[in-house]
Amino acid sequence: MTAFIVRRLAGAIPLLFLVTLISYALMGLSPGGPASILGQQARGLTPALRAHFIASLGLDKPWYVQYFFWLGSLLHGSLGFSFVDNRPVTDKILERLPVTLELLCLSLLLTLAVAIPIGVKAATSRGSWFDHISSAIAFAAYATPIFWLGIVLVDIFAIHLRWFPTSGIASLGHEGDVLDRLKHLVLPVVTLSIVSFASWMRYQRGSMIEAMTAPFVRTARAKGLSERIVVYRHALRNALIPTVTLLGLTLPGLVGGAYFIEFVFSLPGMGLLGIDSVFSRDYPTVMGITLLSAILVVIGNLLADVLYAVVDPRIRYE
Amino acid sequence: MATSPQRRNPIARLALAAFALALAGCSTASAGRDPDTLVVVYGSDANTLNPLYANNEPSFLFYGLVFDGLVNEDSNYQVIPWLASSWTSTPDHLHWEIKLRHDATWSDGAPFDSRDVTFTYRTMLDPKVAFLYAGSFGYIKHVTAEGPYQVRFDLSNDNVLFLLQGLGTPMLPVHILGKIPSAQLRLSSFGQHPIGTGPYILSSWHHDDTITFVRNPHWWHGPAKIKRIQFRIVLDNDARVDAMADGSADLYASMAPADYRTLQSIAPHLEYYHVPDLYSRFIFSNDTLPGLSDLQVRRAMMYGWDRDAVANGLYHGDVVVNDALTPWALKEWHDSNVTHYAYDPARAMAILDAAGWKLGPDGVRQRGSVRLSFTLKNSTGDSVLNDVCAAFQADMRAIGIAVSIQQLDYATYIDQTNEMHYELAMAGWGGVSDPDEFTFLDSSQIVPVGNNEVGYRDPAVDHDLRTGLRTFDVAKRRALYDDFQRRIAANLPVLWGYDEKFGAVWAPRLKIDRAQAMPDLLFWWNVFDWQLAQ
Repeated sequence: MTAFIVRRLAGAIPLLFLVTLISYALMGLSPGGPASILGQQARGLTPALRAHFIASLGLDKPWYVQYFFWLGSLLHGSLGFSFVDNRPVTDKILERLPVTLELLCLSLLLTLAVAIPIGVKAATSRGSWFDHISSAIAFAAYATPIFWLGIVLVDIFAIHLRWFPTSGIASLGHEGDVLDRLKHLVLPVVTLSIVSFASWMRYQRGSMIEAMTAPFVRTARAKGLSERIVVYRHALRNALIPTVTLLGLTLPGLVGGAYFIEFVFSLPGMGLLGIDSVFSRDYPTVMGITLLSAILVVIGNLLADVLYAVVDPRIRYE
Repeated sequence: MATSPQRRNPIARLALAAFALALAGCSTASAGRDPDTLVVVYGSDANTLNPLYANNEPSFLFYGLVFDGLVNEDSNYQVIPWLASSWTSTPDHLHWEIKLRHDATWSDGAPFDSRDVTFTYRTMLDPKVAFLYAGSFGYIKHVTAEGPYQVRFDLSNDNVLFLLQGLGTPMLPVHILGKIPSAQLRLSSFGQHPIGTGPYILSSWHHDDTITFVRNPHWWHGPAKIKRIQFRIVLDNDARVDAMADGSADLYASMAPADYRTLQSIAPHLEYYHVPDLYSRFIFSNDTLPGLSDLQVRRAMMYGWDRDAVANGLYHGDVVVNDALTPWALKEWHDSNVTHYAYDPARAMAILDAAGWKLGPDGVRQRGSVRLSFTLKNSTGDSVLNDVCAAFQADMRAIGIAVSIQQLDYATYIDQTNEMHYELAMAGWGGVSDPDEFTFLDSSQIVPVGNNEVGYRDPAVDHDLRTGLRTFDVAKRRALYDDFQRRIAANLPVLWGYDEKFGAVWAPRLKIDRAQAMPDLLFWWNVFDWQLAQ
């Protein structure tokens, strides 16, 4: 297993290199740049001063040269300094990470708490009205764009009903209030969970149906065990094994979704920082967040494989 | 086979971890309301408090609390002594002797003297520092210390802005920044831990959350009356409005017009301040292109654009229609005797007819092979401005000019307007308390040299602007800018729009002298005199 993990991690290095290279190329080739934005406010910025300013940010070189400077800095353990406020990118990301993690964890928790029981119920009452309705809802949720859903929920529950705040992470003067913070997180977490719900519910349903037809379930029934014990003690335990592996695979999607959610709800997390950085062409910050997101995707996939081996002793990686 | 509890309940463990994370994120202690703290809600955070690298409005505001200039500006836009106690100049205004206060100190206790002044200007003009605004100080040739509290400035040419802008720039501490090589100043931590001579000291800064200042007990002017100012960065407009309405915050300034109206309706007990701002909105027209190069087309567009509908319908009276570049807020300089363009679509169509622009079968006018069909570029982010574009489009359509709207992200928009890659572009300009528009409309300043992004060339305007910068006699200078305003109102280098209004709302416990209040960032100029009633 250790050899497998090391091999996978080593294999991820060229992948991360490619991701960062493509990201830098896209930024470098897109119109507008940090020098244009920052220079816009300066009256009487002469061409000579502009050139000095551009050189001070290292933007006087082609994008691929800038990329290798960035890569060199990364190999020395630094994500560089933001063009916007000249602060270390690592500091900026670490400040924002807790909000994103809160959102991700709470959303995952809610999704699991809702999707797994519904998936089990849909599987055990296969073909029933419950199965049809829950599947229809899951497909509808799956097809719903996350930003649109967020706006709709804000409109209904924050603007019209005024049950929850429209945005932010805390009310003014209530910064340490756990309840207030949770209240701010309800709509973002629910939005992210609704969209994730479909895949979890459908996956759990399929896994459960498969487990219910397995020989050990027939054996359990033949022993005269009650249906409740057959379903929850025998079938569900085994049906959860493949579902656990989904944890790793959904991480990338969750991270991507969280970025949209943070933008819609003005949550001061990593996603909002990333979007702001893209708009202000803050290349080092964009690259830092891209790299971190790519690492999360790699870890997510690795986690899926490792969990699979952990929960199912039949799986062995050579 | 025995199974450990951990292996049995992986989901429960995950749930616990998530909840622990949620709680960890809530570990900040409740701030509560301190009667001695002025709580201000603000929509965005500063980038840096280092004046050399500040590049957004909150940065300018916050460093203004920490740093002093040699001079300041009062509520009548008059220059007043600040770190400089007095000044004299030679008759040609090329040499200035500045006397400094003896009692000013940096917030770390070090004395302020002429070494700081010479260091400040030397640093600003050092190309390695890459100070964005260095171009505004290019005429400063030498700055020489003539004793600990006297400085001599030698200018390469006389410039009326020297007093206000040249001497008003924030002073920097040589004993701190002098130890850092010029090229490394950008990445120094000074922007996060500034040392100034101003009324307030940075106490704490949690980025994108709160920034707190405490008064400087040793400020040369005497300690500010409010002990502590805390800016709460609240990204959402509604949340800022709520904070004012429920008393969580004391002040909300530079607010969106819609927020001002909302607060007026739900919290009438608050104090309201609403005056024309120093900021104007208009539409760039690229006069180098066929169609737009015809002055009659631009005149017709002005008469055909219902700006009163914009002001009253879209902005609910929160903007003032203006036919010139000098904003209404600069009362001493604004000239009302310029060409006015009251909404008159019949006149607009008559002008176009007379100029030979005939309506085509598709309702769009053309002359020869040139059709009056343009793209209006706008940067995304301001929903009211989007509506202004749509209203303009409809107004133009009614007089036979087709306008399509292209929304661009800000970076792309700036890039394209900087390079004059546009036909029409929604634009804005302002924030300065002087009528000078040299970099904006002088022909020597056409991009990429300066900020003349419309490519405007007019020798008479060049004369007014260049002479205006060297004329110290106020009456003579006013005559020059009157002529300038009349010329650009008639020649339409841009399609004039409207001046925005500055709105501020504060709690009754905050005492601000309205007679001393000013719009825009100047609103904060006398923050040290504000008081909090106990």
